[in-house]
Amino acid sequence: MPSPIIDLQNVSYSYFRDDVEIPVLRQLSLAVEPASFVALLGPSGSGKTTMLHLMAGFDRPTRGRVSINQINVHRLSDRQLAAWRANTIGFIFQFYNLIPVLTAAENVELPLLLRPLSRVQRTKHVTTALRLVGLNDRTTHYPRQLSGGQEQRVAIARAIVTDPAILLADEPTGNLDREAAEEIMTLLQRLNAEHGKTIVLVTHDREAAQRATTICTLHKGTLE
Amino acid sequence: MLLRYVIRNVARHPLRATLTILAMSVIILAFGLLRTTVAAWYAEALGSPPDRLRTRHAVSISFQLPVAYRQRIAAIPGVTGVSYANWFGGRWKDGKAFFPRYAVEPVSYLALHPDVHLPPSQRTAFLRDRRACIVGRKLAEKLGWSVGDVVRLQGSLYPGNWEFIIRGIYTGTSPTTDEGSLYLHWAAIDEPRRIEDPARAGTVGWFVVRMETPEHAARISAAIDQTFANSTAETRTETEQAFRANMVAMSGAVIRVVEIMSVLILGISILVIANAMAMTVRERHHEYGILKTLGFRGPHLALLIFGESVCLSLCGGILGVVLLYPSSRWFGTLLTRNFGGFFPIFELPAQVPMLAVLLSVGIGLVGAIIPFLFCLRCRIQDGLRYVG
Repeated sequence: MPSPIIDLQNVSYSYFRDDVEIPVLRQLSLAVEPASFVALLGPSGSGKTTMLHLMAGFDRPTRGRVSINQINVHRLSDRQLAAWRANTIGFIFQFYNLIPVLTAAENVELPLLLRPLSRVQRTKHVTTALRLVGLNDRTTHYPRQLSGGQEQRVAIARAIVTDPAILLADEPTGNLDREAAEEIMTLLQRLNAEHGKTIVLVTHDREAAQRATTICTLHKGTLE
Repeated sequence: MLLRYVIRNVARHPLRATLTILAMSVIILAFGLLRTTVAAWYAEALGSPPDRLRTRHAVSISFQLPVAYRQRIAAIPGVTGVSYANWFGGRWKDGKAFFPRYAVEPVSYLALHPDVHLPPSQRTAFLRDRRACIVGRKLAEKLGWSVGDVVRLQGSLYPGNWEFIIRGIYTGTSPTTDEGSLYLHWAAIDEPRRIEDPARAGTVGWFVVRMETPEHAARISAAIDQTFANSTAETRTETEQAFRANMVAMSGAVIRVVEIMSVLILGISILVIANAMAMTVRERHHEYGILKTLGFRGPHLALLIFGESVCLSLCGGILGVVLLYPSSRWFGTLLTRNFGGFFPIFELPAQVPMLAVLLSVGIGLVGAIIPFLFCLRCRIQDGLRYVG
């Protein structure tokens, strides 16, 4: 059995408000195998997004260990974390989060600017990523000129352009109509099945979660 | 591509960018005009020929020296010419139009000041008539004088009512030559004094000494002062540049205020840029969170924020410099028309536009420091949560 690519052991996370500790995650453990597609299902406030943020290294757990690809993420410095994140993680947001003044191609190119690549090499990677999401005819369009589904596909192209091992998707279909949501889920399934990407999908949509190979349900900070 | 991103960010909020650029340009314009004013104040002093010395009373310029010193100064080795002059003072009409009035020994004075150019016929007419005077081109233009007009002055240092006929209008052969003064015959005012106030007759305010070579300035200055040491009227000799600089320094407080103002407006410009950038960074808080998620770190964000700030500031600076050329001409005309005595020469120094552009870059960099630190300190999740 391969070692897990994402390994959360006894992770607790809480924040303080007016000196009052508010627990979000409690003694939670999760192991995600490489090339698997895991859906984290749960109601609002159950800690899904916090868990995703811990996996991405945005935050450090109050207790426990977060290990991604055998690396203890919470022990990395901010500088190391940024470099690690750029190489290992692709993040997909609910509201696409594209830069409005950049074209689709330029948005996808952004993560490549952190790598020692020539302009020609970057263009090649961008074209490949946009072709993969079916948007190679929209390269010069600005986000405002795209539909919600197309914007999300550009965001997915941006997440995969550096070929990261893990894709973390936070409610990627939450802002889309049913048809566009279906397209996005199909695309994520393809990335998992054909390209071997490990995907962690946070959603409260049961239908979307059904596309994953594993469904974990979070309730009040614990996995059920 | 990041530069393209920076430039598009500048144009993202056109109204704010335009107002910030306009504010910067006005500030740089004001800075440029103030610096030009300070430079104009010193211009005449710096433009003085290096081969001329001035000898005055050791105590103060307001004390007089005997005109008889001229022969002894002329006898000092290395001296090739000596002239003398004095303030005439006085008042023209209601006294509102101030212009310098000097009583000079005309033959030697014009010989020692080749930069004061008179047409030959006017020169002859001036030298021939003791009641004659000459005026600078700018002064004549300002007061509407022409050759043959009579200038009536009410004396102060030399009491009485005086009338002088304009026999010539001189022009400066060098851009630093003062064209805003009036010169009259020293003999014309000294003659009546011999009768009315004999104790003060035969005195001058200062001597102008021309040297064979400027390298001998120190030796000749020392020799002149040594000649009159322990006399009732000891002298102080210095180069004309130093003499004029001392005169300028007497107005030091005013210059200081102008200099302080020029520094203050630079402070204001930093606040203008910092304010614009603070608003920008706050608005893009979410966007910076996304960039951090993608792996962007401090140096990349610095390029974006400082780049945008410098772009805004530099655009304003360049616009300010472009406006500075016509404005300094207009401002110069205004100043020389109204305060010609203080600003005989008002020209935009070559280094001011360059300094203004460099300062614009500096202002852009300094103005972005606090917004950048704010951006750097913000956590990713706070940025992602921010909805504006």
